[in-house]
Amino acid sequence: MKEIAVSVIIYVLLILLIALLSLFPEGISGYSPFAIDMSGATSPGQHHFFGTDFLGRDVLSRALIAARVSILIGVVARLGSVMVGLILGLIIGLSGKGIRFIGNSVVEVFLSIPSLLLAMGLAVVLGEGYGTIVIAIIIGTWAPVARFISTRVVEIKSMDFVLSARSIGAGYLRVTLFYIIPALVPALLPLITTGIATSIMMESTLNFLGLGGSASIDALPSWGLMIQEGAKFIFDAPWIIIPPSLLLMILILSFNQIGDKIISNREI
Amino acid sequence: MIFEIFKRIASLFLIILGAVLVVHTLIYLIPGDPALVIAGEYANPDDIAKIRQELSLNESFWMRYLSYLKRLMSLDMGRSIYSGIPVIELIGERFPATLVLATAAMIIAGILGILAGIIAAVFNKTLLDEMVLWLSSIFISTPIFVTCILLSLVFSYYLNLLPPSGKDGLNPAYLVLPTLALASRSLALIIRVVRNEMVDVLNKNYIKTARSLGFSEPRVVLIFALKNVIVPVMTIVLLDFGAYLGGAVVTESVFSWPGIGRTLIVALYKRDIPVMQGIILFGTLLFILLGVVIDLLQRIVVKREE
Repeated sequence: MKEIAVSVIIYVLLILLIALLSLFPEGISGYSPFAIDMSGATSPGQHHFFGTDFLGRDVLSRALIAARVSILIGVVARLGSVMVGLILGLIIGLSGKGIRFIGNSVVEVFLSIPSLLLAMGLAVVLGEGYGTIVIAIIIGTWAPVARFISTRVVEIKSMDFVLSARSIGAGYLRVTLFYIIPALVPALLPLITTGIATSIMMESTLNFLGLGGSASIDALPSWGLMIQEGAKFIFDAPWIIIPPSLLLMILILSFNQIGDKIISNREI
Repeated sequence: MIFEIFKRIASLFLIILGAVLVVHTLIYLIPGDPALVIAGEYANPDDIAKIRQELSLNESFWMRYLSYLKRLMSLDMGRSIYSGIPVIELIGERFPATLVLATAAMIIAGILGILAGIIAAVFNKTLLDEMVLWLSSIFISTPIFVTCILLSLVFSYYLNLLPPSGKDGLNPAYLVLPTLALASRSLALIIRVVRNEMVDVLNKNYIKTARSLGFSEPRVVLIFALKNVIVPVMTIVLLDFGAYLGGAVVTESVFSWPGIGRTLIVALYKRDIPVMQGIILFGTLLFILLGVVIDLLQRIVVKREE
């Protein structure tokens, strides 16, 4: 128990550290993430600790600032998808047979479309921009949440504490707000944290493929885009892809581990 | 029983209709005039009219949905805006390469995953177990495109062992890196499931009985315990197929593997909407079909256990 709490705290601190560093990339590396140096890609050395990319921009500085994109999109998209899933799941779980059938069918349809493929299609039709990626991830990932919530609600609805509240005259709204929703809360936390890991993975994949995000020089860089650009010069300048890849893996790993620990803690 | 089967088929049919509706709706999400956006900034009015005609954008939403459905019945998914090749032909031509890749990845993930999972379970709570679990956590947390690039950096640049990309007939050297990349995440999932399942099984009474009867440890593990993990592993592998298709887009575009994923990404870049819709729909149908297979598989197992 104590061990688990300690490791959760360590991963939370790791995430906070990455978030904090992303606010002051210049302070860490000494170079602006956008400053272009015409001498082109230089290997890691005294001046640039992790080298520069093909436009002579400091790799460390760009990798640090790019954390903003992944953390923000990962968190916002996941909260959005849990929100949508929670509301629709509640509606489906609480309604009568007819609406539940329709709702479940809609959920089933979205579950049957591979989420990354749907997100890719959406990213293309909705046009450029990080907002597009957020919407694409939400539409691609709300269905499993709704499925989970609606099944839980149906279970909770017939539990003793809800039935007894009903029997002493608690109204529909009261039962929902004060009995059913609180009973769902413990399940939400791991749902959110591991979901953030999935969102970040989708976000970076879409950015890597150049779908949705922006590739213009003055736009906020993302790890996916940095890795895509670096991959073109991978045999001449392999150092470009190392910092973004490592940071991306550490961030996703941290969110996954927090989710795992919370779940395993509950099972004990 | 017959009613059960009928109900299942009806619900499958409903889901397919819904999936077609979602994919059909994609084009209406394009801001502004889809024909104009697809044709690009410098297109002339004739081209735009042609695209509008080709995509039947002059019809209303529901009329177009119905005619799309009707054409699907005769396996007509429209034609590529750029090459004019029917989408269904394109899929038929490119899918085998993806199938080869996905099958190879499934086999590798299955075999390596079961092996590593068994090792971790047998050496439960030792350093080896910890290491295997850590490795699986890292694989789960690494996006496939990162795996792809790190693999090609190590194996084709530093070690110079394998070709960096492409496909050369049936030459297996080109298959190795994309397969490993595509297999990495389900490999990690399988390791976890096999390990946990085996740890449970190895503590059961009938295993203890088998041991006390003098069966050697490798035999106990292989014959008695392994039987229990086959179904969960098959389920993961098949369920992961949807993820394989998403992963195939990334893997195929990094390694220039001429499969359906690379066809999709090219279509996405060119806003070739019919090809995009066709491939997403094809992936969905495959996924639904695999769901049915998993369901049947589990029913058979449950029956046999009874």
